[in-house]
Amino acid sequence: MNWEVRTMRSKTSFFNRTLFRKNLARFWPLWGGASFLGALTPLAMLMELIRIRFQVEITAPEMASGYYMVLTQMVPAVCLVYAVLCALAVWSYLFNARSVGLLHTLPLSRNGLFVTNALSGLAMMVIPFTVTGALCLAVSALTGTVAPAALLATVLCVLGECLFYFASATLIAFITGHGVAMAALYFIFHFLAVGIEYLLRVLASGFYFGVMADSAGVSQWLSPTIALMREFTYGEEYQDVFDARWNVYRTTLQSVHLENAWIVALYALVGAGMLALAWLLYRRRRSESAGDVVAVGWMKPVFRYGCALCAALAGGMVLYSIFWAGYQGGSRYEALPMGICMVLAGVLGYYIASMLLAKSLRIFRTTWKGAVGTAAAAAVLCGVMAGDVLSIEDRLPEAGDVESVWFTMDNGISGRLEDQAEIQKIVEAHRALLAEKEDFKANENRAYNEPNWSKAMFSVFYTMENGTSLRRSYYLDYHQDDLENPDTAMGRLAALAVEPGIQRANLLRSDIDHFTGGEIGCWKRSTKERVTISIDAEQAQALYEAMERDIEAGHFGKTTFRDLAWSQEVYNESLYFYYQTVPNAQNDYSTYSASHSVSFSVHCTELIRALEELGILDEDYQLLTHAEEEQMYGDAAWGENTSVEEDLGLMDQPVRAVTFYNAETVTAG
Amino acid sequence: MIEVRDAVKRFDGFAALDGATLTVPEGSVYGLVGPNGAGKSTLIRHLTGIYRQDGGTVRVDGQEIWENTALKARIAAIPDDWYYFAQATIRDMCRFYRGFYPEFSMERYEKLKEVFAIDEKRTIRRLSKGMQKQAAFWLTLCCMPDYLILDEPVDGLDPVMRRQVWSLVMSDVAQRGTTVLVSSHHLRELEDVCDHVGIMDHGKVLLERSLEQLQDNMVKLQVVFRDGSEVPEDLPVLHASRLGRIHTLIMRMGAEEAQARVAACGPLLVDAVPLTLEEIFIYELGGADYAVKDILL
Repeated sequence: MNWEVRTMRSKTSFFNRTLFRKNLARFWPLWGGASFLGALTPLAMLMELIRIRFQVEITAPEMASGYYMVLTQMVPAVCLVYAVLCALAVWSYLFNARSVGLLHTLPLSRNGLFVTNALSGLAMMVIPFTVTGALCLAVSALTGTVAPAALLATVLCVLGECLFYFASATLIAFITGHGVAMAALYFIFHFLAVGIEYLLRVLASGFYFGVMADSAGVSQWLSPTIALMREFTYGEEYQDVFDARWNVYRTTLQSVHLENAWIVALYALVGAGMLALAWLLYRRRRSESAGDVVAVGWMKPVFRYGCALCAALAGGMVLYSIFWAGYQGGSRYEALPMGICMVLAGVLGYYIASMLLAKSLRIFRTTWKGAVGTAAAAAVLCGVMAGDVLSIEDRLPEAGDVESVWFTMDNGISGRLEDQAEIQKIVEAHRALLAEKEDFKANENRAYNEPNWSKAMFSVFYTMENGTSLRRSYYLDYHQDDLENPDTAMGRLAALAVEPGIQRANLLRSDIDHFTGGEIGCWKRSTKERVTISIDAEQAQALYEAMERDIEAGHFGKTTFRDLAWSQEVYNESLYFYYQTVPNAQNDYSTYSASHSVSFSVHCTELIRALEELGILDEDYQLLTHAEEEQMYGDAAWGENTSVEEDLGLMDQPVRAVTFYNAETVTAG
Repeated sequence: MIEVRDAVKRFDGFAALDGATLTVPEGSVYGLVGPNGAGKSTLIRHLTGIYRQDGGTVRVDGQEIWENTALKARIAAIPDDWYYFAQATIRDMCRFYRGFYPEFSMERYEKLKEVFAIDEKRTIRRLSKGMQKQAAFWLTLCCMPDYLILDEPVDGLDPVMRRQVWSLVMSDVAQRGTTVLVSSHHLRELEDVCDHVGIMDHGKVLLERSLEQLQDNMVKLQVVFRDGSEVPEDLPVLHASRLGRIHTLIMRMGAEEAQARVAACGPLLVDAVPLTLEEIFIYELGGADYAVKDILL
């Protein structure tokens, strides 16, 4: 009999139908509720179709676009939450001594339990998507439009994401022995890498000159929801199609494609690996770990010291902001108080983790050595950060290693440089800035309370040849006289601002196919009004060429960093160019029409001459600088009956009222 | 046959089983007794395949139990805290068990419906503790096990139902040769059903014998000495008490040998009385520092 029984059970040892059915029957409110919520969207669509009597024209690409929008923007977030619920349901028996007793007493191997429960969980994951998808398909079929290829791609991607998220929740279920801990660890696990990177960046930004706490780096790949929502997208191709019925061209969606779908495949593979790892853990899992926060022995120190690290970083900064930030001299952290805060928070985190592991509050006597180690590690971490052992603050790439640089400075000057000579200039200016970093730190905030001091912003983002990047952003307090000295960092930055290469990157557009027109606002003396003058395509082309001549002559950027000059010399109105983009430009699917605005100053003589030669500016139509406008606006706003325009030399009659945004549009020429 | 050899199980350094050795002969009813925390439930969880021992062997029919599904299909257990699904009825649990135990008998299920007069469609959660225990017996006996492992099985059952379930168990032993291992503190009941007894303490099985051997190995003598004198010091007495002139002596030896040893002291009266299992339990564990202490509060 023994032999017969053994033979019979071995055939079904990897799957048990009874358990599978029981799981689905026990947890039907979960997948049934999710299916109901999912079904609401297609049902709403159906109701709307009925209301409009199916008088709608939806093309296959539009349908595909709808699939992909849901797939890329909703499915990762939905899966993130729903997977943990499904995993909690099917693995909940592991978290209770009684239930684990029943399931492990049954004549079913752990392999069988694992496979059956995993398939149950995956089925619960997939059922709501299947119901929702099937209903959407049925509703879309009623409109006569189906996009089978997009539907297939969507189904595959949904399956991949379901596998990944459920597998990750399953792995966490086998690391812990407690339901609440599982849910908490699951979400922590999904955002841990980004969270720790962010904490380190915030800490670094508090210690280092120019280091910012923004943007996640490579850690986003360890936080799949973020990676999927950022990188897994879709693209749409539009085309202008002639509509004979209305005798117009309409921009029509031609095709849709998924971008970076390989990420889903990659995460699905990772999910398969996680399931395998969970299976290995289950084979070795001790039933008595039910109720433990961490069920795997070797993970306990990882959890304990991981908690201590996170607490030291996050708690340290919180304690510092509460108890010391008000006393610190500048905007950067002070090492000793921060070290004390990090030690306190780290030890607190260590003890909390120890209490959770031991399920007892009485752990001080047995764990004090670890607490001492944690305190020492927190102090060392703070010391390493404060002492800039890794030379993060002074990190500067060699120009030859830089593929491109994105720069931003005052007055909205920004652009991307790829030319090595131009990159070299940026790097040199950056080097000069770092050479004077101690002076900048010492002068911090002088711009707020001392005359002739100003605050400037200079930001660079280097993309290296090896694919890495470096971002720095500086807020610099400087004396206006420094701008005139070419040997100072600010002098170099001021010189950089007028460089033709910098201004070309800032002002010229590479996606212009042809101009369609433009406009410029100006002051009409005769009527004392602000008017908008339209510019035709030819005029726009001529003005653009004049602007290029000004760039080459170094006329743009002369007022950058010069607060007073900017106000007195820069015109309050920008010149707008309207154009059609080149057909294959990067963003051509969004629109073929684009605009570009250019702010310019009295130094842009070529542009001003061109405006006059084209008849756009004359005796009656003139430009005002910011200072002139402010003076006029201020007097008018205060109701002073003074001859502002006379003072400004604009007209003989006193201004009674100023209308800045008149609807009148004047055609130039 | 159930065989446990030098089984060791540690929980965070604490040895719940510390070299436990136990043998349950085929077709016997084995009572496992011991104080709270002795390791009885831990041992039972090894026998049902829930726990895996850190050392030693746990075998049934010569095979390791751990992950042996064929063997586990022949073992059924009622733990002290039987688990059922939150919304499940007895009928639901019956279907569940049927899906796992190849020998599960629906015929027996229908027959036992008359014994356990419980509405099978009621949610188990809504049943009383005693009725839940009955439900556990109902379903477990339907699995037609070759080995039945019971941990505090009659807790919560009324006296009539206790007799009823023991009767069912004993009939299985008699008719099917089922081997039963039962852990209980109801020593009086064990005395009636067990033919073998093992006493556990501190993770070890201190002794295991058939009930007869156990009773033969220890004797209770009622003795009256001449002139009301005290118990001679050279007598190997485990425990002595006195009521008037009558001394009650507990001695670890056979009745005949004990009577001969006492007779040498010239008593007026010597009478051997058999010990109950409870008395054996108390006096055996008294030697392992588990005596009832006279504490004045």
